[in-house]
Amino acid sequence: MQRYVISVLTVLLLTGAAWAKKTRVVVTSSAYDSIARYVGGDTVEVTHIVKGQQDPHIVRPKPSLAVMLSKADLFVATGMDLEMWAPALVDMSNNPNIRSGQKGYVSASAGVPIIEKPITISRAEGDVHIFGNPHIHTSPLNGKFIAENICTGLKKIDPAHAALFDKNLARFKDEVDRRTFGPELVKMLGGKVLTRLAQRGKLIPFLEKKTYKGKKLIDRLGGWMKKALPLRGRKVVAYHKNWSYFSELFGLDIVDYMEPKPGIPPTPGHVAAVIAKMRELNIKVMLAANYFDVGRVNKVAERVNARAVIVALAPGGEKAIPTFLDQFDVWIDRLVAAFKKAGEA
Amino acid sequence: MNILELMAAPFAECMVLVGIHTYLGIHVLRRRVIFVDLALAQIAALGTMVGFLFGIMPETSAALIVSMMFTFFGAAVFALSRGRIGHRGQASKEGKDGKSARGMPERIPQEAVIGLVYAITAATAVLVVEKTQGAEHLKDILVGSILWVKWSDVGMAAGAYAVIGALHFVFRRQFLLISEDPEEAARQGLTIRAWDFFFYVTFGFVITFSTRVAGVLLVFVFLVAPAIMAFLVTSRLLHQLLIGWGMGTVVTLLGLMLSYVFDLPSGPSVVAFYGIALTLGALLFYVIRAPSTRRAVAWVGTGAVGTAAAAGLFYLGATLLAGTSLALDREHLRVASETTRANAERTQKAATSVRPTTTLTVGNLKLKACQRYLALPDAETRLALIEEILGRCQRGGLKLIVVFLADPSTPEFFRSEAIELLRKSTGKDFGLSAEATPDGAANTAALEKLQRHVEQLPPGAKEVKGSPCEC
Repeated sequence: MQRYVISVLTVLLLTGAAWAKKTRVVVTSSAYDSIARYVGGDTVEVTHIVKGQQDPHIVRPKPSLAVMLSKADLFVATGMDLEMWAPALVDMSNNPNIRSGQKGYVSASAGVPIIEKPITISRAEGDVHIFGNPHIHTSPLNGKFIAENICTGLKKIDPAHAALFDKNLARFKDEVDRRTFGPELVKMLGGKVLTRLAQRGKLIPFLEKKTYKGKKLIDRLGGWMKKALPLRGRKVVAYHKNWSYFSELFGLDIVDYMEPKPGIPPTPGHVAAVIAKMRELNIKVMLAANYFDVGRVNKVAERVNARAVIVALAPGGEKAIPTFLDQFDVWIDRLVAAFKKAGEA
Repeated sequence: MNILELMAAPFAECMVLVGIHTYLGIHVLRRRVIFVDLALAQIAALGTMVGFLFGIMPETSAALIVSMMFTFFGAAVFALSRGRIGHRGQASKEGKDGKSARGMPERIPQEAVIGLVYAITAATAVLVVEKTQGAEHLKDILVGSILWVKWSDVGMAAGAYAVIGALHFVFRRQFLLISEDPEEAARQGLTIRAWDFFFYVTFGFVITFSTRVAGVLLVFVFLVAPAIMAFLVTSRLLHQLLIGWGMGTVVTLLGLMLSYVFDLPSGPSVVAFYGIALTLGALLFYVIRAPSTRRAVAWVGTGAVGTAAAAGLFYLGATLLAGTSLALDREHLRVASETTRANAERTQKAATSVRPTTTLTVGNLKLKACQRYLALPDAETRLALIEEILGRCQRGGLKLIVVFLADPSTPEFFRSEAIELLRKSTGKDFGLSAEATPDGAANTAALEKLQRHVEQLPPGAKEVKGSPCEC
């Protein structure tokens, strides 16, 4: 009897402690923020460093950031060379648990199929990312890898809730799949197959070739992929090289960038070449993140007779994009609308 | 897209800027308040930032109004901070104790106030940016975007500057007098502070307008460089103006052309080219004005040779230094990439250490699949392998089809494809259904039937010579 009481009390105490203390998660990008909330549910308290309308390459050190990190149980960074400021910040926070390689550190990009790995590494090429393009959050499918990595990290810190994290992770992956490909296709082909085909750029040909129950698979496509079908093969000019994963998944053809090299302001010769290309290929739409000077981008678009689609690059960057999963709706809707208007004009 | 089409509007804008700034530059040089331009530009920028804080987007007319308000405030500060009656000589004679009446004590030069205003507004702008998250805008203020200027912008600027120019023409006597000789102006009964304020308001108006397009650096050069050149040659206002305008036009045109030919950012190219032009001009005047031309040429020659030698030495030293730092850089990159590779290998190991179960149980069936099949990532690739094996060996392929259909994670569509393969290979489907789950009673029975069929097949039936039947 006594033993029984003690064990009940212990369980109560432990659950009480677990209730009281939430896992403090600090993430770099606001995209990781909403994913961490999804996976961690009520057990986590998430804060992010880079706001949705900020340039993730640059963060000015502030005392509050070090304080935030010093209290963190888990620190989620891209883990490539996007957040060059992160190691210094971690050092400043004096929190050994969240250093790279420690239990409290999660590299969000682990396992993500990275594209645009540079062949030659040279400072002359501008802000080149030596490990490949680090703007991984621009594809919904990469979100599943990010969620997986965050889930692994959370389980290490808070093993008691492992089952909950796994459940939430599965729910998140399922939601990503269903919103990317539509529920019907996910049921028939499974998210895993669809993801692999899409990431190799083979999904659309595959769906066009195959028939099931007397209906072409492509006609069963739903979600963002269907919504973005009008974008497939359409040509745009972007301002900076941060849409690669998005354009690759949805088949948008980014012909050139206004910046001659990543991070370097436009020069006349390059701009002339881009404008010539835009005329030749009849490109009417430009894409830019809203952390660039909006007026500047509009001016460029006006001079080249194009429609500028300016969107937040990450959640929280504008009202229409509160979470990671909302950003794709907004990006696709605006691009489709711009192409439609450009087509009418 | 040719050079004319792209660069015509920027060049026109530059001409408009040269027109008004050369004139204002002459005033600024006479007043010895060179940095007032930088300070006012910074105040205008701060205004834009603060407007942004309230939700006013930069580059709208509302933002322009906020900037103007800030600039006019700055104008008031500068008007009040001028020494009691301005000029060194006479003023210090009168106000020797430095505390007389109003205004700044004469011992503190106005440049100090201007510099302070600049530093403080620049720092405040950084603080405001912190709240609005628009760090990119701050960078733009410095370099500007002359390349993107539109004809409508040029027209608007020309109109606005024409108004200012007209004002200055009407009040040219007063403006020149307070700039040149405030003592005399005071004697003639002009209210120095009021006229000063008026001057700074017009000046601030122009600066606010031009910085938005051309950026702080370019505006500063337009203001000071042609004026300096003019001062080198003559002290007569009209001549100064003509020389300044002429130099401004030629240098800007060449700078923009260089920017186009060498494909460099336009604003900074023009700025840098002004530097070169000024140096050459100054040397030329030194030679012309020198009492002995021959000695002057000798001096310039020595200087040129010395500079070239120093540049050569620097080049050598820098190459050497770069070599070492490049080696360090490479080492750093190597370590970084090795860490990434190690991490990737670790992840890979972790992934492969959790092997998928090799045996599947459905009903009374215990099924085993080969490693090659299990290592494949998804149903689509597994089905492709099955098709390949089936093509050379029926028994091996059908064995895998049983596994494939018995696997609960195989999606519906691929089940139907597998059943289709089965039908093609054996002529029947054993009553299997793609929609039913594999552990459903009907499917289990069908799978058992299929398995029995497979076991009855002779090993290696239909085997293609040389290649194994199993996977």
